[in-house]
Amino acid sequence: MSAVGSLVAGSLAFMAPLAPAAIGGLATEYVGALNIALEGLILVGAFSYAAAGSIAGPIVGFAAALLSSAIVAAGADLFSRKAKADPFVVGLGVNMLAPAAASILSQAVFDTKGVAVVAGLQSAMALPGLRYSDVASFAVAAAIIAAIAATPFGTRSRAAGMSRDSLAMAGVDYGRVRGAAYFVSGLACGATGAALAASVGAWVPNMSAGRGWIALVAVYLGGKRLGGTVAAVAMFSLLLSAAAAAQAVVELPAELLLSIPYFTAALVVIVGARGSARRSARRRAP
Amino acid sequence: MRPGFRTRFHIETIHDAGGTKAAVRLVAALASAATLAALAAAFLSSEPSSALRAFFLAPFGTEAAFLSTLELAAPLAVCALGVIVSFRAGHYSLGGEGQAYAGSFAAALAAPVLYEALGPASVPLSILIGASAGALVAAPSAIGKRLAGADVLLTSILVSQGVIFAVDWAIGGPFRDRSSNLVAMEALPRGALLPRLAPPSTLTAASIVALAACLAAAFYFDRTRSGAAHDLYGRNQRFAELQGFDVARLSWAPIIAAGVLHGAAGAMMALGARGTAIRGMSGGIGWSAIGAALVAGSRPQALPFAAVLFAWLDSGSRQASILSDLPPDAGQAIKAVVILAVSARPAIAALRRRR
Repeated sequence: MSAVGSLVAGSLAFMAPLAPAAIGGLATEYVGALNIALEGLILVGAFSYAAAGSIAGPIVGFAAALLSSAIVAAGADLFSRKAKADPFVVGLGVNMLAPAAASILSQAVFDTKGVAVVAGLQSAMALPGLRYSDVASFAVAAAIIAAIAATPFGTRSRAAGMSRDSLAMAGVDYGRVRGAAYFVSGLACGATGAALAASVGAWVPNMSAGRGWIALVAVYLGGKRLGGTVAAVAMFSLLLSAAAAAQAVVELPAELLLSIPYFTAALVVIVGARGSARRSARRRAP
Repeated sequence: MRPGFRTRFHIETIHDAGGTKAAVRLVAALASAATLAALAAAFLSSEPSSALRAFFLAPFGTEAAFLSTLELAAPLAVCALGVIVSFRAGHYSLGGEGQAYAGSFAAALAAPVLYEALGPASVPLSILIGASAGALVAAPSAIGKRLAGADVLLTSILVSQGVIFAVDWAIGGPFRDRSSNLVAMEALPRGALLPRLAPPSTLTAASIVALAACLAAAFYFDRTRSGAAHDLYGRNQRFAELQGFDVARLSWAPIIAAGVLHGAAGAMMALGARGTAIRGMSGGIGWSAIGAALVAGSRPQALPFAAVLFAWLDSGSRQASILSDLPPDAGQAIKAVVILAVSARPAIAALRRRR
């Protein structure tokens, strides 16, 4: 495979777990809620895939990942609404609880709190650089995109983000729309977690490795728009793929190469903010 | 929906909760932590009585154990103070983890050199270098906010993640002590460490410094015009501007101040019980610090209590995992549930009514 070909294949492999989480983050952004629990929800999905998959195989594992993550997300949102708790703080709690709970459960299920390799759970290659689990993950992302772009749920979500009062006047319950958005966000993070666990056929503690945060940043870099978010995910995936490919060419340590996408993204956020501040100033000028 | 590079939200529960509310939150946190610890010991251990004893008594059972728990709380309190300083200005910086880790690394790197040149006087300088490293990691977010209005939440988490990778490389690569099985830098000379105040406990002057910092911050927020401006800026930037406060300075200075505190906390860890910089040593302190700040109701004077509570959970779960078979992560899980419990407003309100 040519260098460009392998870069594209690598990008797709990075994109497969990242895209659903970012689309899931966008789903809650549409209803006007910042879901910072993406990182924890990915871990819930990854652990559920490995745990349920070890008993009933990868397909059941994948379904368990989607469902468990969605239930946790919807449960966290329900708690936040009913207990009038700040969604940010609840998200922080979920992010702290998920790795600890997974570690405790890992001891019970796999008899280790470290890496647990499960035979038969590593997904086979469907295309060069792309596993069947990646394809399934893309399918989940595509289904959510379709749901938020072309269904009444998407329309209500956007309306909820714009004006809760107008939504109430139309007879739609904001809480239910927000709950549904969190459920969808959980489904998406479950797919991300399952794709990560299926790529190695194992449960690895903290295997989300910051992907939830990158997904959240992609939502903002993409201007909280569908096309923009997908483009930002593609940019991140390309950067991560380039960093991984560079390890074979440049004599730079892996950790330093892996840090580059994060610094680059921070720079893009600052430059982008500067650009939008200038545009706003120009619009305000007489 | 307006597209853009900024997150527009407020975290109400992280603003100053007021004296009574902070006290109620502490009581709620303590009650929920004790209940959860008892439940964890009962259901997660096959020796519940040993687990209970270890969880509740071991961290306070002897003078040395109690003082060591206080020492464990010191860096967390300083880190949480950083969270309060940035969050009360409306800057939701999530980069504490990377800033503390950078502080640990920088202090461990500088300490042997400074000790050789200055002897025991090197300790405060090493902490200063750790604090500067934290400020350096916070600087891109502060500059981005000041010059471009870039969202601090996004830039701080991105820079922090990048820094964590870079420090991981530094500790595990060129600065690693190859004679040790631990992925860590060379153990620091005893004289370069924070002096122990009450051996055999690990208590150092860090606890006193942390307490003094919390009290100074309480004075700043409650008794000074700058502190009032800081708070007002966090609640309503436009109003703070109309009042004639220096909003330009407040758009970046609290972010740097938080970086200084996080870096100093990291330095305290390296120069304290750990005795050097170890790969992954920050171990979620940035996130625990946000939780501690929340439990303290964002009041610096309540922070020492919140930090000791979290330190007890860490120490108790560790002791219980050694003396019984309670999973060591139980403490972290309990911390998370405590954070959720104190974020629930009706529960807090009900507790207030009872009081």
